[in-house]
Amino acid sequence: MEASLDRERVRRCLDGLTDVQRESITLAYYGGNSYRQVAELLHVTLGAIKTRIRDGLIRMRDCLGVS
Amino acid sequence: MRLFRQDLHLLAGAYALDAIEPGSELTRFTRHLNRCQSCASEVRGFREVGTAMAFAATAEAPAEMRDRVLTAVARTRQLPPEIRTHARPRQARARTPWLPWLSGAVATAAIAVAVFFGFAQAHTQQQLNQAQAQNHTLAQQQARVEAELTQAKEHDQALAQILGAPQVQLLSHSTTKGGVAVVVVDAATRKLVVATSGLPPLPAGKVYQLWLIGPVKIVSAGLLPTAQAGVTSPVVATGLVKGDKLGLTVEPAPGSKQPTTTPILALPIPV
Repeated sequence: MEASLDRERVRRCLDGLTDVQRESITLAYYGGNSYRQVAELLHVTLGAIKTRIRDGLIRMRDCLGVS
Repeated sequence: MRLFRQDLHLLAGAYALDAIEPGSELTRFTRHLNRCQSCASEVRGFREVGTAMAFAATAEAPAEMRDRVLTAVARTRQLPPEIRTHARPRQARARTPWLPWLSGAVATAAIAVAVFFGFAQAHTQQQLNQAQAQNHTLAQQQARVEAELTQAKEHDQALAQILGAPQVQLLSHSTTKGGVAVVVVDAATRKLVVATSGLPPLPAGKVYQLWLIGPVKIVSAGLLPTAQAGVTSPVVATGLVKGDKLGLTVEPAPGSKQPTTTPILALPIPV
């Protein structure tokens, strides 16, 4: 991967996530929660959290142009 | 069986974020990764996303945001003490979350702040856990967090200079042993910043050492710090010359004068 380092772009990509995707990723990655804990915090099923995290990351990856 | 596999594949995101609790599920997914090429490449891509987010925001953490987070820390309810004899990174991160009190509405801002904390976070978290275990007051905990932040900030100044430079390039490459190195190159000042994610842990007495492998000579570019939650905090290297490759080897502690093992990474640096 080679890309220009563009903070605005990262921010725009984050803004492009749905609220639930952004929230799940924030809680899991930066909040240091396991996905199980995120599911408990947000009162949703484990399957839903797995999907949100993965879909959010796919969107970020495509938006950032990570190969 | 088919369903089962699909279900496992869904875990790629959580796995890349280190958000699967240690146990049979993690073991099953790790085993699955060895067999599933597309899962492995998906995880690599996701890890790069995480690192890119970290790099993009490391240099900026507005003071008022930091204050807001510290205020929030002070408001957060105390969690029961947790005493461990061995600090396991994933476990250290898995407890007492940093940001659950921030709602989705401010999540983007929260990420910018959280990312700034990111590299020091695991360590800070451990200290917080210890403080709680020792029944320290909230004020004392907050003082600890403050101290950690100041430290992180000082460290970040060298980084900020490079990350804030007008013409930087972001490169990333996986190593032959797994994990990814992310490199920010500032050709104008001939400096670079290296951080890694997901490198295999080393046995005691071994370290990861960086090298600038040039056409004429090989120069040590320093050791990678111990990983926190799988991520090594950024290292700054100076004195790049044209034709340099960034090398990474495993060396006996406290590092070698010249590489003694085959590089697990040799990344050409455009200067």
